[in-house]
This record gives sequence, C-alpha cells and structure tokens, in this order.
Amino acid sequence: MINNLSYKVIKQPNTISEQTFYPNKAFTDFIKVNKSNILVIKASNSSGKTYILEMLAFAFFGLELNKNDITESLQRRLKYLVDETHQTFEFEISIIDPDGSIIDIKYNKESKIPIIKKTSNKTVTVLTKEMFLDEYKLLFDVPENPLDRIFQVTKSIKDYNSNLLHQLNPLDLKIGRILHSIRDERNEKLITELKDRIEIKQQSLNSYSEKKNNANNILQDIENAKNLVALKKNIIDKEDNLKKLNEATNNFNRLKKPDLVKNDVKSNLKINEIKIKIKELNLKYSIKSLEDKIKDNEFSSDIIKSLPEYDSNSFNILYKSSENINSYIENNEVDEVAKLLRILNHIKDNSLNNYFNNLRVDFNGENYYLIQNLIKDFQKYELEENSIFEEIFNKQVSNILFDLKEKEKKDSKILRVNELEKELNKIISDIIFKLNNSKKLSVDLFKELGKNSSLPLEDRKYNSSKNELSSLTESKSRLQSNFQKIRNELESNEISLNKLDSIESIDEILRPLNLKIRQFSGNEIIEIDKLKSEIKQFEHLATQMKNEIIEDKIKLKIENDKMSSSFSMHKDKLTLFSSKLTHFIKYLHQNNSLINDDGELNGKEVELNMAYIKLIGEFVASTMGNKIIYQNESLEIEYVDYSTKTPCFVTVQGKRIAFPDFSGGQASSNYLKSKLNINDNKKYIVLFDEIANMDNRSLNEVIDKLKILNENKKLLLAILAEPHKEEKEFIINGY
Amino acid sequence: MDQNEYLNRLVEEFTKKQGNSESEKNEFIKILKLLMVVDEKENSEIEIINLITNQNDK
Repeated sequence: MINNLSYKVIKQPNTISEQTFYPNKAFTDFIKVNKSNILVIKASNSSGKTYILEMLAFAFFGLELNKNDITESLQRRLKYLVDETHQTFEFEISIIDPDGSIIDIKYNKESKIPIIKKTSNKTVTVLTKEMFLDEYKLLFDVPENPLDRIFQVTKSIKDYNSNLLHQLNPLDLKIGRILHSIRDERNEKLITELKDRIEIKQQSLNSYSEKKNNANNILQDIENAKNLVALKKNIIDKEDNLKKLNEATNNFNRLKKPDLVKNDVKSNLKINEIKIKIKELNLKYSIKSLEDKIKDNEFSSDIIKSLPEYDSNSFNILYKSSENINSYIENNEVDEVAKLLRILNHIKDNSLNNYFNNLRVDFNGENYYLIQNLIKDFQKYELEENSIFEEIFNKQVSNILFDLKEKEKKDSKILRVNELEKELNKIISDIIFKLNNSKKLSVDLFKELGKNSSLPLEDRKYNSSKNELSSLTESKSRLQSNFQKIRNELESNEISLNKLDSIESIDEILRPLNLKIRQFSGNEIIEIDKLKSEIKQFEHLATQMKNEIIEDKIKLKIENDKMSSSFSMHKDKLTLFSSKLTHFIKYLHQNNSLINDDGELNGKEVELNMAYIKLIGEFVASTMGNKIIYQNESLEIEYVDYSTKTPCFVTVQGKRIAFPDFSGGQASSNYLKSKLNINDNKKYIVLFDEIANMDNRSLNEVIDKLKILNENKKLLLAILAEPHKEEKEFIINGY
Repeated sequence: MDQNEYLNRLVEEFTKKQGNSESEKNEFIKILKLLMVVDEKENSEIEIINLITNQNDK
C-alpha cells in the first residue's frame, strides 16, 4: 500500500512555457485514509493519473525491462519522462511491503537514479537495482492488442526452454568428458557378462559331449552287432573255403603237370602281365572308397533318404560290383562294364547333381559371405563400450557377434556341401576313366586266353585246376585277413577276443545286443550313417564351443588385468544417464524449435508434437488462473489449443472458443490475468493504464486475480487507470 | 503451473516417449534437478558422478 507519494514536474523549465505539476490532491487525500493495495483510478485527461503510473514505473526500474516485458510506446513514454531537455522532475514515494517493511524511494536531478531504502525492524538497507529486481517484479502495461500479446506467454516458455538448454548442454558435455576419461578402465559389467557367457558355453560344451557319448554308445552297439554277424558269416565261409581248398588241392595233385612250350610260357607271362595291370587299376578299392565317402559324411543320411528308388538301386549295384569288377574285366564281360559305366554317369550327372543343387537352395551362399564380412567389421568394436550399438541394434556388440557366429555356423554348411560334391565327382570321374582303360586290357587278355584254349585238354584241366586252387588260396587269405580285421574292430569296441572263438559264443554276445538295438532293426546302415553324422556334428560344435570359450577367456583376462577406479564401477549408470540426458536435450531442442521468436507455433511440426503443444496450452491457461470471461460468463479453461490454425481456449467441458471470438474488453481482461502468475516467486508492482475497454465484469476478473496475489502476500502495489469522460473528475476506488 | 511444474511435465512426456517406468522418470527428474544446481567448481565432476550414481543417498 502507498504510505506517501509526492512529486514535482517542471515542464519546459526556464522558458516562457514553464509549467509545474504536483500530484492530484484527490489522490494524496485518498491514500492518507485508504490503505488498499489495489487502486483503480478513473480520471479525466490531464488530471495526473498517467504521471503517477509513469513515476512509479520509473522508480521501479521500468526502463530496465526488456523489450518483451514492455511495449514500445510505454518505453518511449518513460524515456520522455527522463528527458531533461523538456522537463525535470523529482519524487518521493513510501510504500509498505506485505512483509511489513517500508520501502522509500527518492529521486531528484542530482541523484540520477532512484534511491531505494528498505526499512525492516529499524534496519535500513539500500537496495541496489539487482537486489530490487531479485525480489520484485514490475508489470507496466497497456492492454493494447491483448490477444496478440498472449503469444508473449508462449515466447516466455521458449525463453525458459532456452535457459534450460543453456544449463543442460554444458552438463551433457561434462558427463561425456567424464565417461571418456573412464573409458579404458576395467569394465565390471563386461567381466560379469564374460564369466556368465563362459559358464553357459561350458554347459553347452558338456551337453554336446554327453550327446556325442550317447550317440557313440549306440553306434558301438550297432557296429558290434553288425561285426558279430559278419564274423559269424566269415567263420562259416572260412570252413566252406577250407573244405573246397582241400578238395581242389587233392584234385590238382592228381593232375600231371604239362610240358611247357616256349610259346605257352610267353602267353602265360603276357596273361599275368595284363592281369597285374587290371589289378593295378584298383577299381575295387576306388568303388569301395566311393561307397565309404557317400556313406560316411555329414550329409550321408540325408543323401540316402533323398535318393529316388531307381537311384538307390543303382548305388547298390555299383557297391556290389566292387567284388566282381576284376572278374568282369578279366572275362571280358563287356555288358557288365558298360552297365557300370552307365550307372556311374547317371549317379554323377543326375543323382548327385540334383541332390547337391537342392541342398544349395537351402543354404544361402551369399548370406554366408555377408555374415563373414559383418563378423570382421563387428570384431573391430567388440571391446569398445559404445551406446550407439545398443541404441540401433538393441544389444551389445558381443551379443551381435554371438548371433552372427551362430548364423555363420549354420550357413558354413554351404562350403562343406561344395567340398563334398567336388570330392565325389573326382572319385567317380576316376572310376569312369579306369573303366574305360580297362576295356582295352580286357580285349588283350581275351586274345591271350584264346591262344591258350588251343592247348590239349589235360593241360587245360591242369591250368584250370591250378587257377581254382590259386583263387581259393587267395579267398582263404582274404577271409583270414577279414576275420582279423573284424576281430580287431570288435576288440577296439570293448569285446573280449576270447569270447569270439565259436559261433555259439558269438551268439551269446549277440542276443542281448540285438535286444538293445532292436528299435533300429532293418535300418542299421541308415542309423549308423545318421549316428556318425550326428557325432561329427557334435564334435564340430564342441570344437567351435571350445574355441569360443578360449576366446572369451582371453578377453576376460585382458579385461581383468585392466586398472580400475571407483568411478568405473558406475560406468553403466553414467552411460545410461548420459544417453538419457542427450536425448532429453534433443527432445527439448526439438520442442523449443516449435515456438518461433514471436511466440507463435510453427505449423508443420505441430502434428508430430501434440503432447508438447498441449503442455504449452496448459501452461498458458494456468497463467490466466484457468479462467476466462466469455459472453459475460466466467468459464473454467483446461488449456489453450495451439494445434489449430486459429488458437482457441478449451474449457473443462471441451467447449472451444477461438481467440478472435472475444470482445476487446474480455481479451484485455484475459490478457492481464495471464500476466499475473501466482506461482512467480517475486512480489508484483502492477501498473495497468488505459483499461477502459473492459466492462465491470472483465475488470472484476482482473481485480479478483490481484486480490489472490494480495492475499498471498505477493502484491506490493497495483494501480489500474482509465480515463473519465467528465472533466476534472478524479475517482479512486481501493480494493 | 510454474517453471518447476512445467519441467516436471516436460520430463514426464519425454520419459513416456522413451518407454520409461514411473520410477525411472522420478529418478531422472530428481538427478536432473540436483545436477542443475551443481556449481562450476573444482571437483564438480565427482559431485556429478555421485549424484548420478546415487552415492549421496548411501
């Protein structure tokens, strides 16, 4: 409230136009008796009301207000006030602060600036401009173009945003620097991750080993059963062979050895030479190798399963021919050889070719090479902690690499498929080549044998008996070697040799074994291939897992050996906060750019930021006390909707009132209210001039808002002025 | 709505967009406000680390 106010204004001093003005007596009389903080002056022109407002505005540093807080016309008026070329003035004002202290302001030509003294509990403090502006806020305004100026509130939000950014940007940089300085320290999180990863991989490795052992056990049982059956057959064949050999030996011994003529010797030598050449072709071995390769590879069971019946039969004919191939050639069985050549060409060009082409469709080679390149690239950043990977891929580099390596494992099959195809084609081409060569040897042998057929019958019998004896002896040796081979295999599969002497003892071992593997009965060969393939796969996975464990252990050691400080323990938390802060700054910056320098909202981006636009609207509505006057009615508003081309107030009931729908007085009232923010920490000095466009209701709304400020001890003084049409009238009302 | 409440709402909208939980939001605004009043001085980095990692709470 005003305790005392006096001033003296001399216009055009020291000229013939000199005039002196003092405060209106009605005003000074009024403040002597009325102690209201809120005054409304209704006075005729030139009655001094504007002087009072301007004097107070000047006293409270109105010239220091920035251009957003004072209109150009009011600023000009204050500058005219202090322009000594046309007038001089001096004043003394005393006001009581809501906290009970007294503020005395004195100004004269000599003092240059208003001197403000605050007396509280008999202690006098001279307030500097800064001290004063820290505690008080001057609102000196004329509600001209009030609606347009509501945009100043949005502009003030932009200023606050900029202020926030000004504070947060250096903070963000500082945290970034902190993170950079602890980048090379021990990463406890990575250490824990590596330890966990090693443990998980070790479990996988154990599981692979267990699965491999199980498969091995089943395979051993099936192979043992198969070998025991073969051993039984071998024992029977050996007995049969021994019987035939004895008979053949007896027969041979009874025959007379023919006299050798030179020519026969020569022919026999040639025959032996050709036979050696046929043996040297090693066709039996080549066909056996092909069979082994087809039956013993990673894809064996798949190849066998996928072959059509015709192809499957062709393979079986080829495998069986290994035993007879030399005999076909030696006996010049041209049809058999031609049949084998047909089969081989079919297998090569159709069966295997189709199979491998289909397999290649399943494993994408291009993906495999892409994955290999990606692994190389990601490995470069494996030990770096960079949040960008987590932001983009939602996982750490080590996890990305793990996934890529799993994929690589799967797709690396393409390489093994190509390699297998190449090997098989090589073996088949080799057999075809040898078979073609064998044709000539076959013809030559046939010719030489033809020469021998001219020998006498006795001699031919002798030769035939000798050949039979030689063949049976060879069989005996082959059976014996096979016998040893099977026994060795059984022994290596943990079956004691002393139990393999007789068919009965073999049956004794075989019976429980057959029971154990009866589920595979009839499919033993397929099962063996399947198990071998599984074992190979588990071995492959186990090797890979072992390598990965070694890799992780090395990484763990490297990380473990690094230095550590107490800060690096919190690296993750710091990184997370830093990332969040950076994003928040970006978000704030983005939102702030929605408001242009005039406090208007940039239309294009509005739709993308509805939540923020609503927040601005709520902020502006709150500055008006969430109330507006519209058509003589006080409405409670929730927010101002800036998202539409024409902004509008939105009531709590959802009613929309566009800005241009207000009358000037209502708009002025709403605007003035918006300037009185109860949440501001400072105490207000409110000087509103030219409020005549407001009717009583609109004016009362503003007064009510001022009363709330007053009740909250946030109002130092409020003077509202309007012209009166009657001359020499000076009416004051206190609230 | 004062500036403090406006900042709270701003952070609320931001954390909602980020998919953060209520407690994450509260933690962020708490630390943010504490950091905003840290003075520029020697060893302010340690103060910042302590505030972010809640060392001052322990």
